[in-house]
Amino acid sequence: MARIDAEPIISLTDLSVHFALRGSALGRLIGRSSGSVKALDGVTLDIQPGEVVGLVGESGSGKSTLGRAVLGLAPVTGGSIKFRGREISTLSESAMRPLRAKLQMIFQDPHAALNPSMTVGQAISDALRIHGVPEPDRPAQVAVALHRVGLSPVERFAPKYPAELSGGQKQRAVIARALSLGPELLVADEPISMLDMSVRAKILALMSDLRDSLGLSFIYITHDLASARFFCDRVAIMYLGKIVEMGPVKDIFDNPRHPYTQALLKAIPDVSHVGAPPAELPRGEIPDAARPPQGCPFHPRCPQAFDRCGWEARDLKVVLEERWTSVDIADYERESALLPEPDRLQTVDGVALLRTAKGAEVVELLEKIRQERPSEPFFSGLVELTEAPGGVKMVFADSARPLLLPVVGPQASGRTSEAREQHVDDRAAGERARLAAEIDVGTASAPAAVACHLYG
Amino acid sequence: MAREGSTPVFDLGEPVTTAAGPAETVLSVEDLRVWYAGAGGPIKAVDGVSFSLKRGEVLGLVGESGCGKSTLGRGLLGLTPAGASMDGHIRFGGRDLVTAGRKVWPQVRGSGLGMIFQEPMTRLDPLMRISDHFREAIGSHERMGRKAADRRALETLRSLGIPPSRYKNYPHEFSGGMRQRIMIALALALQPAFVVADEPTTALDVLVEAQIINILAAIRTTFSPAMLLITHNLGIVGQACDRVAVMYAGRIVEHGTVAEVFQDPQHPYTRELLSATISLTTTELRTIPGAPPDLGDPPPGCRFHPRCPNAMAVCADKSPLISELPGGRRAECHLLQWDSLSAVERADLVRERVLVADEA
Repeated sequence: MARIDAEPIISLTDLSVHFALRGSALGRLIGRSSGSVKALDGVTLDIQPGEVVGLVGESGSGKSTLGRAVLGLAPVTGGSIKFRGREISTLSESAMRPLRAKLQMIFQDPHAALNPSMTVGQAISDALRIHGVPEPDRPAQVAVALHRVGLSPVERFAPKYPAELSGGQKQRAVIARALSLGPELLVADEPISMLDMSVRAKILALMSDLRDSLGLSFIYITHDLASARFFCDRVAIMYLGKIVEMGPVKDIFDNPRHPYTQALLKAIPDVSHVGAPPAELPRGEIPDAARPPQGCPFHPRCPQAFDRCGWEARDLKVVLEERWTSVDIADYERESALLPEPDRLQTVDGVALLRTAKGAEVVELLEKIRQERPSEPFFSGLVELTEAPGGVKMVFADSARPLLLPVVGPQASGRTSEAREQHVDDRAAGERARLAAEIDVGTASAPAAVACHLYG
Repeated sequence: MAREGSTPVFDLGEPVTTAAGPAETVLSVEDLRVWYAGAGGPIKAVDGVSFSLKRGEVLGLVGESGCGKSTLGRGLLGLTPAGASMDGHIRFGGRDLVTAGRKVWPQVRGSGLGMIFQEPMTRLDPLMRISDHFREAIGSHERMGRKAADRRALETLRSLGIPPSRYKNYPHEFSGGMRQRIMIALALALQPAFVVADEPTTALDVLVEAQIINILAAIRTTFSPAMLLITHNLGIVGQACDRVAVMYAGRIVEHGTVAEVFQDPQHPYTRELLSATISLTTTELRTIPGAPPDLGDPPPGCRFHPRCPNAMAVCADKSPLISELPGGRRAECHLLQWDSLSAVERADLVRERVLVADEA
């Protein structure tokens, strides 16, 4: 179990990994920025010795980038990573290398993680060689590592090539290689998702045993909530580069607060629950990280979104596409001619101008959709819809990105939170408050935290 | 084909398949065997499988990797590789597809038998617009003008949640979930009477997977094909299937309605598989020792006996018979024939311990 009072093994503060997008040659000449993909955007998290922290989210949520950044495998563009109090995000490759023995990774695809032309014994002993273990000592350490992961008798498994092993055996070999260097933290990136159902439990049991007997810390990256519930002490739910909810496992699973977490838990196909999946699920998929939504990144899919969640003109596309799968084809043709390419619409300071010669018809159509679908959350954010010279003017409600703040009461009691008030009033002061508040929630002793406007 | 439960916007034209009553059997498989040539003799990937499917009925096929699930699915569509041999009966549309010869397959595929693949990105041609995919698929199986084909395609896409505004897009312009919807639409546009869906949600995220399962549930009443849903995820079977067949080493060892099989499994393999599944209610990890056998040299007697917690002396010796249980349930286990066993046969089986690492 985690020792809360101890110094954290890993301490991430406001960590960001942004990848620059390549623009056009002309764009670079005239000095136009081509933007960036915020794979990880301001994450604060502490990991205690012996603690297992789960990172859960869909593809593109940034969970793998976070794991890779901790090992120095992703370019950190902001914030800090401390290993036992020492800053490591700025270290050079050669200064980082000795630390890598303490921070090891288990990969998703064990077949790709092993060199096909090395036997299991050679693969482990090669890792020992790189980290300076003298040759005479290596065979004994290889044997210890293989024995530790259940690949015994060692004489039988050490001379095997990866192709001669089953998927579960290969994953055991990958874990043995990581263990041979005496790590303190293992980053396990979907270690069981490519394995057969009956083998998953065996590898998860092995990792639980390593945690208990060696006191290892884990960052467990997964999209599988069931295994996270079993294996983790704390869970961080990630969406589009940010942590949207975090807390002790029991808290997250018994009382999920963020609509995204609630949806994930509802959507798991579970053997203990025979029957149709829930009909009320978030629509669409995780958006393009190069053009993240305004406000809360989850708002275009959120069934509970309301006015200040960050509505903008391009969200109209989802509404229209949903409509066009059900209306008469003649209606579709007429309406699509009125509204070409809604996803190109720019919304500046909450105002968008939809250029069209038939402004009155567009206003009429949108008002009709609003009448027909009163529960559509998009319209809660659309405060003004009028015909304007050259098109249609749309004004959207004020919005802000929700902050990851500690949960004060059972629900919606964080409305008085000072940080929230400041953020709306004064962006600079709000930013300072945000950092202070979010740093507190990253520690193991902190209560559950959620980033959602429903809670303040 | 009658489309209960939905109001079609267009008349889809005369259905290709013969009109079938709600309870009519669409496909009936009897004692099917699919064997591959292996270095040390035949590999019996499917070894005596029987089941039948009615219109609109979904049968889940589960089991570990290497139990013959995908080979069975492909065999039913005649998609086995050259050199494989097939034996038994597949009765479909008044014909026996196994004995009718290789030429019959292209005639029944598409409009009669459909397939939904996993990994939609590799199955859609990146240089072809979605519209071209549909024109090609519909045009190569049916005599239909381009306008009519487009109408059919658009209607099918719309019923799966793809708006007509995306019809001329290329595959890369869609998200993973949308591509999987397009794959399903490509199979359903030909209105097949029987569809094999091989792991249709494996590469998808949790929420998108749930959307696709909802779609599979919806097509049971709209397109109502008989469907074989191959998956390793027992949770999906619970959500999307009427019945479930548990496959082990080339044979269906248990078969019944999903609720019955999940609540009261009769075969030890089903029981072990269910308890080894990690779910939200898991508090203790349970595992099945060992791995599925080499299908070129399966163990004698019951093929599960080396891994079975309930194995008896008879299990290593004789193959179990199929026990017919109430409600059309079937299972293949000596425990169900307990009364006919002698005391010697009932004795606990003495085995070598399975090593921790001898696993799949």
